[in-house]
Amino acid sequence: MGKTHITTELKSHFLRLYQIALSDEDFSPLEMQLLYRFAEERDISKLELNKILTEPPGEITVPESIEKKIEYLYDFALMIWADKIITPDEENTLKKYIKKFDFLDENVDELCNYLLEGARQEKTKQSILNELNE
Amino acid sequence: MGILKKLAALRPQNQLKAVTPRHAEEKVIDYNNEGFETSKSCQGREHTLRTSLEAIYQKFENDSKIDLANQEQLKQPYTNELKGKSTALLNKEEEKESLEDEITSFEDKIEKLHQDTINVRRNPLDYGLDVDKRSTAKFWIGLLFLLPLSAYILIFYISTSYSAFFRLFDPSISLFQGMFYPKALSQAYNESFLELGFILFIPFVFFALGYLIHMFQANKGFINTLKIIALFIITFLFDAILAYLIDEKLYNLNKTYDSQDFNIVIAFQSVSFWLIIFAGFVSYIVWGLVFDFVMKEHSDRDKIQSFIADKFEEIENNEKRIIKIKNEIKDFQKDISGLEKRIAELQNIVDGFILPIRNYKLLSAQYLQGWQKYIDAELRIGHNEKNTLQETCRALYDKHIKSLELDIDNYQNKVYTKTL
Repeated sequence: MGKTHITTELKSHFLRLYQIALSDEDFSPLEMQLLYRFAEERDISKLELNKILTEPPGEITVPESIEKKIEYLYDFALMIWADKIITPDEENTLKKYIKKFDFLDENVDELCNYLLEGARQEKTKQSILNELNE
Repeated sequence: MGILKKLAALRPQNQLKAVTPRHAEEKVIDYNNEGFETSKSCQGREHTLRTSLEAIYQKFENDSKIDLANQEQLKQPYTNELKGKSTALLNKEEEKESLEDEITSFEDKIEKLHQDTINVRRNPLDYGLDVDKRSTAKFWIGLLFLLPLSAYILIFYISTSYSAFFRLFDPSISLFQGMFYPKALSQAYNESFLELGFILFIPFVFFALGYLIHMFQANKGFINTLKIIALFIITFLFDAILAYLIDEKLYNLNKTYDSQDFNIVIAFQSVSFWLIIFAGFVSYIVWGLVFDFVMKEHSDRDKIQSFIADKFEEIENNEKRIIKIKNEIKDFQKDISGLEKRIAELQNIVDGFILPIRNYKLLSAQYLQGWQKYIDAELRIGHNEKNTLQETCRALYDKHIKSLELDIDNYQNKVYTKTL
């Protein structure tokens, strides 16, 4: 199997996921597991993930396409829900990223709730992406 | 339209970008007009152009300083790099700290191992060593007995075996002389080498038997016990045969016609027979017990010694690890210094201001164009004079651009770092 090239965008995504996981000051094993699962889904080995987390690329980029933006944000929501507790800090971090990803300011709260609700209902990423195209 | 689709509307990206070019275009026209107007007010004089160029440069610099939004945009790559480097620095520092903690824990381990090597002698049981802590003293005392005993057995069996196998007895020999013959070695040497070898090596049969008994004793079990008993019996028989042979020779010397032939019953009733057995076999048993004891104490001492040796080996390994980690820390320190240096540079850039100097070249050219436009279009002087003035103005402008090094360099921006 060839080595997957990890883009800066993906690296940035994992750094944000890590930050989300840390934002409640408690990096629970569940969050850790989810982080590694996300990495696995994208063909990133544990070693590579560790490298991303310990050696940040410097440059942090925002995904371009709306699908990627929603996909990444939903990952954040899943990460927040990993320990079944949503703290205000986590919520604020998610909102911060929604804003960073260039969504309209007036939709930030609603989109945040929508994603967290999706995570709470344990919707799959694919179903969220389908909803985006409805 | 689905709710998500509605919520996922993005901020229009081109809002900000649309403003910038228009803003820049306006500036170009402003500079052109300003050049024209100033030229008009001073009749295109070259001295005024010099001052004006200096003034517009100052103005451009000030405008750039005040234009915070533009500054932010210009500084964006530096700010991004600064963020990245700061995170990298934090990570490196954390890793360095964790390595330093590792060193401390290794040092603690080494300290404990040193303590163990000292304490194990005092309280071997604490370390799971079921040994007598006075084993060293006992070992030396045991050895002190074992060596003379070994020498005694060596002498005894050399002389007894010589007496039993080779010696010719004469009537003047006493009981003790019959058993012990001081000249056994020299006599055997004189007689033949084989004889000497025989009597020299025969004691080792007994030592080997003693050693075998010790070895079999170490392992419990019925068969081992049988072997030990068999070994004791063999040794006793060997001794008894020697005693019998010597006693027979002594008996035959004093034999009369009435006397019976020497037999086992006579031997059992003879004092010399028992004396030889006691002087040989019993002292052999004593030797075996002392040997056994010395070996046990030695193995106890060995346990402690090997425990200490293990600990020292562990200490050495830990010290090697520490050296390795220290080297890693050095590398980290190098990286950290590099990062800190770059962060300081970047911070100075971010705290300072960036002059988009290439823009100035464009604007000042517009200014000159405005200036010359006035000379060309409206200044009423002779054609030749006009040309000369135009050339002087151009030369002045070129000099100005050269003084800013804009004529050679291709860089877009000039970075003014924060100075103290």
